[in-house]
Amino acid sequence: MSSNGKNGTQEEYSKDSFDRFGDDLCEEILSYLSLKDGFRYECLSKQWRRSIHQKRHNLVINTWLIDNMDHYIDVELMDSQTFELVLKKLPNITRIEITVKSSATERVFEVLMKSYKHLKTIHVRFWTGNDTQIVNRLLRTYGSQLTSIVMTKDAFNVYKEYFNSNTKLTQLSAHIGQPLQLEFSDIFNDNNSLLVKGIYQSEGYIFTMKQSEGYISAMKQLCELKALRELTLRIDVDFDNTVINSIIDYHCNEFVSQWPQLKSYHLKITYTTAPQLRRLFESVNDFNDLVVTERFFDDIDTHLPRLQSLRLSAYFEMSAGIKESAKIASNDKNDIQEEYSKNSFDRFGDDLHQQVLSYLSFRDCFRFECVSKQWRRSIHQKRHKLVINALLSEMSADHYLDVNRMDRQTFESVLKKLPNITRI
Amino acid sequence: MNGEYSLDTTEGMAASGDPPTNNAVDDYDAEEALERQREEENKIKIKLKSFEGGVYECGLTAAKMSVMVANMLDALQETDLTKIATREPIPLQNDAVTNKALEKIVEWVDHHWDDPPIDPDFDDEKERRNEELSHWDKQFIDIADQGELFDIIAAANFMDIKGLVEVGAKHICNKIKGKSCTEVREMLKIHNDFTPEEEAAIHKENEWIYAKD
Repeated sequence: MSSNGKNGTQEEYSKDSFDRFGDDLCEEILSYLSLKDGFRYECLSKQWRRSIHQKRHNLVINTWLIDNMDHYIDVELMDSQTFELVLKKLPNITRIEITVKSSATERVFEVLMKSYKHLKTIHVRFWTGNDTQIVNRLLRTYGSQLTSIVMTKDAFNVYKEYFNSNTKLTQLSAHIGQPLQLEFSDIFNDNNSLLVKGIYQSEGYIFTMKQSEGYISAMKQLCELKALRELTLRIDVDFDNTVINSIIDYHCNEFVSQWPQLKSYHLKITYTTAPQLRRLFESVNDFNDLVVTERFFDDIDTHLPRLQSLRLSAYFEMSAGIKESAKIASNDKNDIQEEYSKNSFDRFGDDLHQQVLSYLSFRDCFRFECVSKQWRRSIHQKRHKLVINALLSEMSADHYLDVNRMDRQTFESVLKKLPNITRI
Repeated sequence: MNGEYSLDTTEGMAASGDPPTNNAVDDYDAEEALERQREEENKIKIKLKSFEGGVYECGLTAAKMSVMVANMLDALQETDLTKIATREPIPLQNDAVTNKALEKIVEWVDHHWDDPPIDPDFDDEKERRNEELSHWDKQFIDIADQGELFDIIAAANFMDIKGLVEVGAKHICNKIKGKSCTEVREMLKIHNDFTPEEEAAIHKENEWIYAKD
């Protein structure tokens, strides 16, 4: 325990000096630094140098996200000697995440696999274009150790050959377009015993009338995966209503009853027309996690007793419409609020409306994320304790504080209420 | 709005649904019962005594967020929980647990006692790490006096309250982000025990991080 260390050194360090902390607490605190900050502050003191990397378990090599430069290593800007030195300093990595782009990163991956013997999670994203040789080599050698793979269509074909050796795989993701869905089914029919924990299925943006059959057949195939625990399903529809309706029909009637054991379900649906969303909500009320866009507000009073996390995204083109419908909807709900007094989701809905109304006026495009921590509790016990995360992309710094204050007032006045995070 | 898809439809579905759905409902009820119990227990107040002797009252469930306090309570083997309330205050024997720090800690656990437990099935440690602090936490931890702040973090670490240590850690890391080494050293009052040569060598080692800047 750190107290032992501190009792001995207590005389030496003043109370407001970081030096008073023992190594273990120091490690813990510094583990929240970004990867590059970790190296940047290595020279602060000997204690920092020896503890700063100790609790870093996650290593990201060549990410495809451009926003967090500080959290990953771009090996393309680094010679192999430096890289090995870096790896030496990071002794306790248990999870790696790597995007394999070329044979150079392939070599890096091999170095990683040699350096770390205690990896628990290996997330590989193949971004190799048409070059399937790299995929082939890597899967042959390390296929049995990978836990999560993201790949393109070409890589997928290669993957099929090694399917049976991928014993540790818990998550498989693919960029799946129309032509691939049949192959998708081949693979999963082959191996029902595999415990596939999560599948991230990213549907291609193909706008054809035949698409609905494609979706339905894909859903049918997904139903084969009885061990599925986490599912993200993305449906992009930009065509006429009957097609959407047939997809939704299938989704509501068959698809959602497939997984009693599903713990987390992300459904992303893009609509441009008014759909049967309400029905959709009802059909997914067994799931914990739901992602929708746009017309959400029309039907927000729908019962969603299991919802723990709710994400909304909307785009400016439709914001005027939302604004109107949201206004109407929130008025409506004020009237019926008494009826649903036990069901705080209605109030929650009102909050959301207010939030959205306050953001829409100055945001072109926003992503709005709300997490309601005590959801289940609040629905039954009138305990209105919610944590709302509002995530606004591209928001200018001036607006930041404004919004922050506005949110607080809104929320504090409406409910005796909880933290409200606004972040850029 | 489609009136035909009323709320009744939903409830009907859940009630008459297939067995797996009912299991889910049972789980749900069990969880709810547990939550009620936690809430009841939190109405029982226990006393905590700081290193400086100040005594603070705290809900039982909230106090149990401290693994150390929870273990001490378990060791009492008291079946009648209400008796705990009348017991002697629990002493916290660490010099970081000052009156001020303990007061803040009690405030924190009282606010967070009903946080949902982390679902072990989901390895969302990584997400949690990157998650920003809630507004409440930010205000809570924004303490001008650095000595007091460090007291709270050290005390939370001593009492083994993981959530609060995390809040403190994120706060400190947020504050030093983007600062130069000298600035950080000044701010956190860190004693530089490297020789200039050693420091230069480390800088050289880590040149790569500036490659893209």
